[in-house]
Amino acid sequence: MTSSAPITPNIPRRILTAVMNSVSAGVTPRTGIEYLAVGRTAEIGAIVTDLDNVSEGSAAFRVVSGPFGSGKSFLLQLARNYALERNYVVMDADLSPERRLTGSQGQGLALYRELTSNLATKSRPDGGALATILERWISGVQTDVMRTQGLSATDAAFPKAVESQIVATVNGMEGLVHGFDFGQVLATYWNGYVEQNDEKKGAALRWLRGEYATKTEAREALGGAVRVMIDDDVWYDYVKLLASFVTAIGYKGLIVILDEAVNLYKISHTQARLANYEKLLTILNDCLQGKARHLAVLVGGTPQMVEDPRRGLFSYDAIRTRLQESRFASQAGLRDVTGPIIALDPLSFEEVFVLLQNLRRLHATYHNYPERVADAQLKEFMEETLHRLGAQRFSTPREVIRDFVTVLNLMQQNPSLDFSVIVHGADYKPTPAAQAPSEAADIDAEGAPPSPGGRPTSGADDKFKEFTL
Amino acid sequence: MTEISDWTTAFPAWLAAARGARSHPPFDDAGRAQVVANKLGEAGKFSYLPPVIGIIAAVVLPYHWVWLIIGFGVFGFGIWRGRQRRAAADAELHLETAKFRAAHLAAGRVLDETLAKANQGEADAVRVLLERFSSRVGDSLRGLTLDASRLPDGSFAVGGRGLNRADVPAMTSRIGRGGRTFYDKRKAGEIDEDLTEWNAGAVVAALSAMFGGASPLRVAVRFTIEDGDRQRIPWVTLATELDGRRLLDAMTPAGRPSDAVRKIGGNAGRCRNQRYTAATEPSWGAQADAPIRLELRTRLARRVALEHANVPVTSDLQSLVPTVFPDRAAPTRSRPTGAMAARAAGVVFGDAARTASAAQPVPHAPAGFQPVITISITGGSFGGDFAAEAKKRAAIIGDPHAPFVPFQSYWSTYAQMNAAQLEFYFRWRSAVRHGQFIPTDLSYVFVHVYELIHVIGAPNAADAAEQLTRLWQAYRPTYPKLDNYLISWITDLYATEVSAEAALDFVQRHVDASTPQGDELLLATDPRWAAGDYGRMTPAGMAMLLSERRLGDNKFVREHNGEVAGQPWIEGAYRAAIQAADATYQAKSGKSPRDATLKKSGQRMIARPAFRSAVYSWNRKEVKLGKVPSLTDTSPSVKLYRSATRHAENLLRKERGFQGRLRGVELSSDVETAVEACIVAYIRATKPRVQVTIDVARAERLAQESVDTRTRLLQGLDAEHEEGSPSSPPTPRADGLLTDVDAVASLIARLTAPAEALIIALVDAGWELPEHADALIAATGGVLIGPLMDEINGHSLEVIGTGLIVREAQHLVIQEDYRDEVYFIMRGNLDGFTPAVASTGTAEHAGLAPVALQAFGPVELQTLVVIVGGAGDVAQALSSLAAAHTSTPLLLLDHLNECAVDSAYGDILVDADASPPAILPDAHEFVATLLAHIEHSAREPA
Repeated sequence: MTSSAPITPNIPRRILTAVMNSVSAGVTPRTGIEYLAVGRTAEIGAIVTDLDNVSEGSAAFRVVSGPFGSGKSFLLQLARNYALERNYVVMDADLSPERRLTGSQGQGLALYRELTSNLATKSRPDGGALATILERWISGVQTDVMRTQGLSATDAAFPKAVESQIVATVNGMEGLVHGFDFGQVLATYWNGYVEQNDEKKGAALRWLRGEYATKTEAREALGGAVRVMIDDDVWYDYVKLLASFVTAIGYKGLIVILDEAVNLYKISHTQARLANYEKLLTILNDCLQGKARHLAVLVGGTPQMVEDPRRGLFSYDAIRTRLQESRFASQAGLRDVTGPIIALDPLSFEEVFVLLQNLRRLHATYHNYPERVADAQLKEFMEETLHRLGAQRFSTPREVIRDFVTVLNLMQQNPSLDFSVIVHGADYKPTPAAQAPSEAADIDAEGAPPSPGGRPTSGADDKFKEFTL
Repeated sequence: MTEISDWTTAFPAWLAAARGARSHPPFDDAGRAQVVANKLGEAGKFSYLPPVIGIIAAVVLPYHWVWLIIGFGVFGFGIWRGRQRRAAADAELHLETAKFRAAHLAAGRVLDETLAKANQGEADAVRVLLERFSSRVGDSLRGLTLDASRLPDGSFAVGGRGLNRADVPAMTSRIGRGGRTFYDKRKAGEIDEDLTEWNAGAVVAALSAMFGGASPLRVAVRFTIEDGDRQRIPWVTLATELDGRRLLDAMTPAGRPSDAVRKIGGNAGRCRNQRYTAATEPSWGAQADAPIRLELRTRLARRVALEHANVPVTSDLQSLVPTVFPDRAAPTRSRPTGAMAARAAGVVFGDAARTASAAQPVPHAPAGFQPVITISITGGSFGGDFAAEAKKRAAIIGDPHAPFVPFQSYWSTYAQMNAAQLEFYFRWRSAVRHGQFIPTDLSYVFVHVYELIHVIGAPNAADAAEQLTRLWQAYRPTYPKLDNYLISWITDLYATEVSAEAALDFVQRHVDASTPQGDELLLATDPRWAAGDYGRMTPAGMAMLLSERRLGDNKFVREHNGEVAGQPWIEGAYRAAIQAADATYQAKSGKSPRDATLKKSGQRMIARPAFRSAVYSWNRKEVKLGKVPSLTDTSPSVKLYRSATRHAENLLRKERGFQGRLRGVELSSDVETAVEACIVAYIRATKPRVQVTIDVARAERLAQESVDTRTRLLQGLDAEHEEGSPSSPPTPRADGLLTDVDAVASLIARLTAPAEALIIALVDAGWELPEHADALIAATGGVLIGPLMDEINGHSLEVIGTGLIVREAQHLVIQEDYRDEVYFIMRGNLDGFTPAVASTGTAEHAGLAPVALQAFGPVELQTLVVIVGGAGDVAQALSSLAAAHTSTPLLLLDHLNECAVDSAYGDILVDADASPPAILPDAHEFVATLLAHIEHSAREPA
C-alpha cells in the first residue's frame, strides 16, 4: 500500500469551492465534476470525441449501459457539463411512463416538452434557454448587420436589413423536413420582437415547446402563420431542426440526453414497446447514417433493458444487429467503446479508493490543512461502508462521498478526533444504502409509477440521481 | 362411445333417475283399460259381407228369398260368434288385469320394503337402489365408478373414480348451414366447470338415490379423479348425515351440483387453468371418534359383495335391473346364482337395450370391455375386534426368513393383511422387539403402534410407551409423518395409563428434537415463553406464538435463511426481534406481552379424546394435559410479535437487497426503534467482514488515467488556472514575456474583423482610448462598441479566463497582463514594446480590480446594479438599458449569468425567470462584495 498522494491537479479556488460545497451536500457540482471523475477513461474519451465530431457537423448516438450504480447518470452529467462549457446546447430528460419516445396518449410529445423545457446553454444551465437562444440569435443578427453593412440601430434601413438576414436564416431551414413551418414560427418570433409584441413572441415559444393541443389553437395564436403543430409523430424532426438552427446561430451543436431508458423496457404492452424501439431505431439510423447533423443523442439504460432478448432492445432484431457487440470483442473479453453501446461496470475497489484519495486531497486543499487520513484508513472506511446495512457493494458512491466528506469535516473541525474513532464509533451511522430498483418488480406493477423504493423521481431528489456513479 | 353431455342437461335427468329409483308409480288403470278395450273390440268384430252378398244374389238369381235367408243367416251367426269371443276375452282380460295389478303391487311392496331397509341402513337395499338408479341414468354416467361400503358402525363410505378432465369433451357440436354438423372448441373454463359439476352431479344424484330416505344415515364420500400427472386427488368429499329432506333442500334442478354438495356439508374440488384444487378430506369432525378415510378396494369389495349377495329379489324387479355381464374368467355354472350375485359382478350404466332377464345368460362382453361402474358393498370390521385379535397374536414370533411383502393401507389391521403380509409382519415385529429396526412399510409400523397403544405386547403402559418412543425415533427419519401421530399417541398413553406428569415430561423431553404440532407444542413452548427463553424455543413454537402455521413461510426466508453463526440467519433475527419487542413492551407497560395476552384472552385447558385417529378398540378416555394461554390473531402478544418479526424481516430484506416488503407492521415508535436497533446490531454482528483489497499498481494507474481524462475534459477551459498543469504548460520566454501568447493568439483568431480592428486601435493608441473616440469609431466602421467588447471578452473568458478589455472611467483599456502577447500578435514581434509602454494607462488601477470584477463587462455590471437596486420598475429599467445597448432584457441577464459562470464565483447570479429578475440567495454575498469593489473603483481618482 502506498501512502503517496494521488496525482491531483491544482484546482482553481472557485471550482474547488463549488465542488466541496456540492459534494458535502450530496449533489452534483455544476462545475468541476471533472475533478471527481475516476476511471472511465475510454468511455469519457468516446463521448468527448463524439461531441467534437458533432461540432464538425456529424451526429452521434450512444447507449450508456450499466447496472444500478455503475455511473451512467454521472457519465451523462459529465457529458452535459462538458458540452455546456463548450457552447453546445443540451436538452435532457428522464424517460418515464408518461414520457416515452412515442405513445398513444401523447407520451412522445410530453418527452419533447420536457426536452425543450430543459433546453440548456452555458448561461442557462438549468434549462429554459429557448427564449434566450432566440434573443441571442436576433441580437447576433443585429450586430452582424451593423458590422457588415455599417448601419446603426437608429438607421431607417436597419430593421429591414436585419429582417432580410433573419429571413435568409429562416429560409435556410426550409430545406429540412418541417423546415418551412419552423421558419414561419421563427419569423413570427422576429415580428413579435420588432413589434415588441410579447404575446406573439410567447405564442411562437409555446409552439416551439409543443404546448399547443390543437392545430386550430396554434394557427389562431400565430396569426395563421402555420397550419401544423408539433405532435407525437414529428417531434423528433423538430429536434433535428433545432440542432440545425442552434448550429446556424453559432452554437456547436445540440446534445440530447435521455436517461432512465429502462422505462421503455418496462412497457408491458408489446406493441407499444416495439413502437418506442422503432422510434429509437429511427434516431439511431439518422445519427449513424448521417441524416442528422450537429446532433448527439445519449441514452442511459440498464444492461437488462438493452440485452434482454425478450423485452429489451435486443428483442427488436433491427436494433440488436446494430447495437450488438462484435463477437470478436466479446470472445476476447475486450470492450469496444466505439460502438453505439458503452457498457459500464460498477466501480471497483481501486476506483473508489482513488476517488477517496482525490476527495481527501481536495478537502485538505480547500481547508488548507495537511492531509491527515492515511491510505490504510481509507481502506478501513471502505470496509466500514461495505459493512453497513444493505451494502452489497459500492452501489451509490454519492453516499460514500458524502459520508467521507462528513468524516473529513468532523476531523477538520475537531482536530483532536481520530479518524478511526469517528468511523468505528458507535455514534457513526453510515448513510443507509439505497435500494437498487428491480426492473422486473416494476414491470409487475406496469401502468403505475415506479415504486417509491426505487430512485427518486421528483422534487429536490432529482439532483441526487444525477450524481449516481 | 356416447358423448358425455353437458352437466346442465344431464343433471336434471340424473335427479329424475334418482327419484325414479326410489319411487314406484301407481298401476296405470287408464292405460290398462285402453288395452282391454282395444282387445275386446278386436275380439267382438264380425263381417257385414254375408247379407250384402245375399241381397245381390236375390236380385240377380232366381229364388231370391232363398238367397236372402242364407245371407242374413250367416250374418246373424257372425254376430253371435263375435259376442261369444268378446265375452271370453273380457273374462280373460279381467283376470289378466288383476294379475298385472297384483304383480305391480307386489313390486311396489318390494320397493317399499327395500326403501324401508335402506332407510335403516341395510347395505343390500342401498345397493338395489343404486342399481335402480344406474338402470335409469343410461349412458350419461359412462366413465364413472362407484364403490360403496358399509362400515361397522353402520355408516356408509362411498368411494369412486370420476370423470377426468381429459374425458370431458373439448369440442361441442352444432348444426350449421346446410344441415352440416360443425364442431366448436370449448373454452377451458367450460371444461373446468363441467369437470366439477359433472362429477358432483353424479355423486349427488347417486347419493340421492341411495340415501334419500326419511331417516338420516351417516355417509362419508371420497370421490376421486386423476389430475394431469395421473395422481388421484379427492374431488367430491363428504362426511355427514344424509336424509331425503336434506338432499331435497340442497338440490334444485337449476342449481349447481357443487353447491348442493356444499349445502349438505361436503366439498367439491375445483379446476382452473388446469390447476386442480382438491376437495378436503372427509372428516367427521367432533362427532366421530375417528376421521373416515376411504380408498378403493375394488377387488376385495367385489369378493365381499359376492359373498353377501342375498337380498331377496322377485322377478318383478327384473325389468328394473341393468344388464348383467357374466364373469368371463369363470364358467357360468360356477358363478353364484341369483340375480344380485350376478349384478354385483359388474354393472354397466347405459346399456338399457340389453336389460333382458337377469336369470338368462347373456353373451360375453366384447373383447377389451372393462366395467366402468362397479357397485360393491363391503362388510366385516377392523376396529371393533382389533384388541382381541392383537391379544391372540401378541405372542407370535415370526419366521425370521419371511420375505418382505409390501403393505399399504389406511388404518392397517390384521384383517387387511394376507398371509404373506402377516408372516412378514410377525417377523418384523419380533425383530423390533429385539431392537432391530429393519426397513419396512409404514402400514406395518402402524399395526404395531396400534398394538402398543392397547398395551399389548408390553408388560405395562410405561414400557409400551417406551417401546413406542423407540419405534418412533427409529422410523421417523424414514417416515417423518410419524411425528404427526406418535407424539400425540405416546402422550395420550402416558396421560391415560401412567400419569399426566409423565406425559408432560415426555413432551418437554422431545419437543426440541422433533416437530410436535398443536397442543403439545404450545404446552412445551409456554414455559419457555414465560421465562423469555426465546433462544431455545423451536421454530414451530415461535410460529405458534405468532399464530402462524410456519415461521417465515415466504420466498425470502426460504432463500436466505442459511446458517450464520451457528443458527438460521432469519430465525435468529426473529428471536432477537421478539426479545427486543418483549423487553420494550414490558418496560413501557409494566407487564409482559404474555401476561397481557393471559389477561385479555385467558387460558384454555388442553383436553381431547385419547388416541385420536388411531385404530383403538376400547373406550377413548379424555386426556387433560394442562392449561396454556389462548392465542388468537387479536391477542396482544401475537400482534406485537407479528409486527416485530415482520419489521425485522423487512430490515433483513433491505440488507440483502430483496424486493418487496411485508405489510401489516403496526408498532409503536419505541418498539420499532428498539427492534430496528436490535436488528441492525444483529446484521452487523452476523455480516461477514468484507476485506477490501487494493491493487496499488492499478490504483496508481487509475489515478494517472483520471488526470489524463480531466486534462482532456478541461482542455481549453481552465487549463490556465492549473498552475503546472502538464497539458498546457506556459512557455515563458527568457525575458518573462509572451507567457500566454498561444492563448491570446487563439483568442484573436476567433474574433471578427471589427473586434480585431478595435484591439488594433487600442494598441495603436497606447492601450486605451475613450469609449467614444473617433479613432475607435473609424476603426470599427461604425459598429457599436458594446457588442464588440462583449464578443472580445466572451472569447477571452473562454480562452484566457478573464476579459481582455476593461472599461474604466469611460475608457477602454487592454488588460496589462496580456499587452505583450497582443502586441506580439498584432505586430509580429516585440519591436518597440517596452515595459514602460505596457505600464502606462491603467497601471495604477490594476491592483484595485478584484479578480472577480474582471469577468464582468460594464453592461453586465450596470445590469447587476439595476437588479440589485430594485428601486422602481426593474423590468422597465432593464428594458431601457437593453434598448440603449441594442439588446433585450433577457439577453442582458443571460450575459450577466454567463460572465458570472466564468468568474471566480463560478455560478449564475440572477434568476432570469423570476419577475422581476432577482439575485439568487446564494449569490447575495458575492454580489455585495462585487458592488463594493465597483463603488471603491468609482471613488478612486481617474
